[in-house]
Amino acid sequence: MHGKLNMKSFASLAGGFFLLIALSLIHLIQGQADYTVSELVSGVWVEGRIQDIVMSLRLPRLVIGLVAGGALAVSGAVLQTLTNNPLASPGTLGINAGAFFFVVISVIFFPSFLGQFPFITALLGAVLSSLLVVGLSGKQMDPVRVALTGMIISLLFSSMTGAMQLLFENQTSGLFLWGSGTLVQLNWEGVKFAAPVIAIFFVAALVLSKSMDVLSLGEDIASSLGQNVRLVKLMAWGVAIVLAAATVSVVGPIGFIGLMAPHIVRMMGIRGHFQIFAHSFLWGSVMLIGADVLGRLIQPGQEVPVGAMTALIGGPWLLYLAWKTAKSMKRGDRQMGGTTKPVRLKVLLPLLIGMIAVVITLALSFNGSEWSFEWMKPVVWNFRVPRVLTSFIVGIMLAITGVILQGVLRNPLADSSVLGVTSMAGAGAMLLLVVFPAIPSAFLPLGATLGAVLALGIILVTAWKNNFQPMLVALMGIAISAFGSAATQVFVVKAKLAVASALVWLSGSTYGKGWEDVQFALILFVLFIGPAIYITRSLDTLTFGDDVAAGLGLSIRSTRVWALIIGVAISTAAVSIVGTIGFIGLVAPHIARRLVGFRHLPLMLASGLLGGLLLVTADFVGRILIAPKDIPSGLIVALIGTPYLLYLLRKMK
Amino acid sequence: MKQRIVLLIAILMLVLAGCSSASEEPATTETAAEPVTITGTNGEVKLDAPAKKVVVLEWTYAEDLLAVGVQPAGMADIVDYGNYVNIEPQLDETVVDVGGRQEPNLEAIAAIEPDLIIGVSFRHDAMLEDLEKIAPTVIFNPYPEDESIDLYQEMETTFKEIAKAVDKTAEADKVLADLETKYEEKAAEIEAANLKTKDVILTLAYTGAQAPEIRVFTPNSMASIILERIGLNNVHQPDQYEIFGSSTFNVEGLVKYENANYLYTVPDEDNIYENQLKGNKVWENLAFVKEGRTYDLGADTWLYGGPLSAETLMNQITDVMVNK
Repeated sequence: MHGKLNMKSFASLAGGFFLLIALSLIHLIQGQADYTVSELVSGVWVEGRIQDIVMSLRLPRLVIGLVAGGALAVSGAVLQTLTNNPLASPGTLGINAGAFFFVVISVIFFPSFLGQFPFITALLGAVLSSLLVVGLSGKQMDPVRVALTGMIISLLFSSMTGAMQLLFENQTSGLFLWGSGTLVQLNWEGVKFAAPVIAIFFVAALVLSKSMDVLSLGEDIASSLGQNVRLVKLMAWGVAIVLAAATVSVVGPIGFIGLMAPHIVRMMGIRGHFQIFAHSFLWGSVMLIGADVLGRLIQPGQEVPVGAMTALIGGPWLLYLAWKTAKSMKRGDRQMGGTTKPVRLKVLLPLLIGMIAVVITLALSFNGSEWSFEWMKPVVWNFRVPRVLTSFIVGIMLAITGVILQGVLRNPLADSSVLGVTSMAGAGAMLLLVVFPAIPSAFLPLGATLGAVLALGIILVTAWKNNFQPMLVALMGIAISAFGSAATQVFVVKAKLAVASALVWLSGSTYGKGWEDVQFALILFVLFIGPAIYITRSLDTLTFGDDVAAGLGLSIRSTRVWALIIGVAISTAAVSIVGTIGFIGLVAPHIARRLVGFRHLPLMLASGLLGGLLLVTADFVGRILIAPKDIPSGLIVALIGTPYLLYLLRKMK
Repeated sequence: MKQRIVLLIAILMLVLAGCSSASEEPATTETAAEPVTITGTNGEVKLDAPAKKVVVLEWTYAEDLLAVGVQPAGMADIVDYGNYVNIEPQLDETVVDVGGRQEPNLEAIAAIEPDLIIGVSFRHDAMLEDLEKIAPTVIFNPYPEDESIDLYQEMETTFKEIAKAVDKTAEADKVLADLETKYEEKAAEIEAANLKTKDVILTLAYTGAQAPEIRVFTPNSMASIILERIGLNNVHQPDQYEIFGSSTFNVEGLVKYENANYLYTVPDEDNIYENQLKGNKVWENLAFVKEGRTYDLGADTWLYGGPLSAETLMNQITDVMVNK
């Protein structure tokens, strides 16, 4: 047994090193200055141009790639053990998004600070977002919960980043490449900063490996063996976060390496955390350098962000992994919560309608600089009125989606963005834009629908056999979502300038909605409201748990399929009108559940109204805050929704 | 506070309204204007009369109007325009800000009651219907996919169309004719200056992450064609057709052009030459750096503009290369 392991270990190490050396040599040859191999080999030893280029541009790039790939892989390996979650990685836990947001903010508001302390800026963002995820996930580190929290934090940061890029187009245009991760280095500064940090924390990971072996036996056994579980976990989290953050701060958010490398190592039969960490480092380096080599082969002389390359390879892998992992997961039923002393609808409804009336009146009357109550005036009638109405209807639709999806998955953090439907819809639309750059944006919803249907298809196919276990569906959703946003990122880089209008649409905008949009939204709403109401009865039954529900004569599987189809259809309809607005489907049902309890019909009614209220408010605030400029409603929704969501996560311990 | 501002604005509006109604009187006595037809990427746009009140949603087209002596009635992203574009005549302070270029405020545009709206295809195609509801709208595309049209020709064509829309065709012809004279003058200056080399590359740089990115303009770009017109020689030959008229390089890519002169603009607050590239061996050992042949054209020399920006570019080039 031991000998066998050593053989595997040796094979992995030898193979890894051989690949690494080969790839590194190719990597050093690639570059915008055309030198032949023999010129490079002879020129590098003497002082001069070739030596300068190799020593101050190409070598730092290679070294940072080696170090960053290794760090990401080890960080991923640590996180996966810690959260007992095969899908954990710096990318899926929101660390990348947080760091990037901080960099964007400082580029805009404190450019000189970024110039002086680029690493610290990104490090702050990475640490903040990981602290948020860790803090909000609760002590148990429940896998799905950690992953979902990571998703939400990512969603929050990336929506804010998107909005910043919209508002400050000229200042941030150079950040697109870095936003997808790049190894471009200009000197040894990046290496000087990252290498020591990574070295120290890599050693720390190795030191911790024994304790992590014990920890992976389970916390009870670990503590009965005399381990201070909390301390070990805390230290391991620290190691993982710093490794990821140091990397992000130098090379930008690079996904999937932290996810794939540890798995490949495990698949090769390497066991024990010391071995896993060491091998992960090696294979992480191999993968990142390989991706960079590949990127420059595809477009010689141009920069294809290496993060995009890793996403291209890693996306499908992630899907496969999610499917494989989730199959072995045991069913987790979770309580949806909700008040047991509902506010009576007779009281609540007039209150809600009153609030909606007030907000809509405000929204119709103020344009950011002046009041006008002449709603029939052409300027108001043609632009403001339909915009407010569209927001209201779409808000209702988004909230209803949330109610249905949360009900069917029995997952209080489910909504179309968590399921990956939203991000795939975005990716689909962007793909359309890349393939047909001249396409009118009226056709973007077509791409969005294709993307959403694909996402749903994947969920249906993979979850069918497992009877739609909530865990499996949620995990698949996270995988699809990560893939969708990675694909979107690749397309954004590929589409270059044409991207500005797509970014608006992606970040969710109620901008420029006219009467056709009102009509369209209304038709879709009328079309879907019937089935949505019809499904509430079955959803009520489902809340008792699968076994009870089946005992009551409910066909669980067909209920799940239909509820998923209806939920996704409504959310796609909403996306096709206003783009990818998240959070409403998540937040509105929660507030409603605390008001009216968990019966689905009143729940749907109340959250629909709340959703409408939220989006109208968001649209209004976005219109007036920096008038005559416009802030996309998606951002405002995120800003309104997140504090509530964070509060909610704290509360659900 | 806010109320006071609102009040102030209201008073201003009243005053303005008073002024404008007074000044409109003689305008009506003019002879009936002829209808005009202009052509953009969205086809032919017919106006019953030349436009008086024009809303421009992209900087270059505001510049085109200014070149023929017309102030736009409304314009997008006025503040940033001031940071990046340096031309005479300047934008009037009365020009109304209609929001961002990407999502201009439709209500603000409608409130101006313009005769014509001018947009750019890569931003405004999506909202064409909304804009057309407000006023006739013409869209231009400064980056045609057709390789046979260079970006300078596109600029001239668009400029003439815009001039036609405001009935200033004669003025536009004069501006272009003056520009031709100017090219000859500047070419003579360059010729007389006896430069060590007339080979140049023209770049625009900014920070992408820690690594600076350098846009090197290709021969089909407008800025490059202006260079050629005054007798300079752009040595950058891109490997592939660049629709936006520039390739993106890092320092390494500059090596093959080190014998040329290095013309550049860089934002003041993001000067990569003073920040990241300072002390970089590759950069400092490039021939044009060593021999002092790098020429700063200033942060507000807009390389994507119209005829006035073309003139600014020419003046800046001869200022820094000849008169330094």
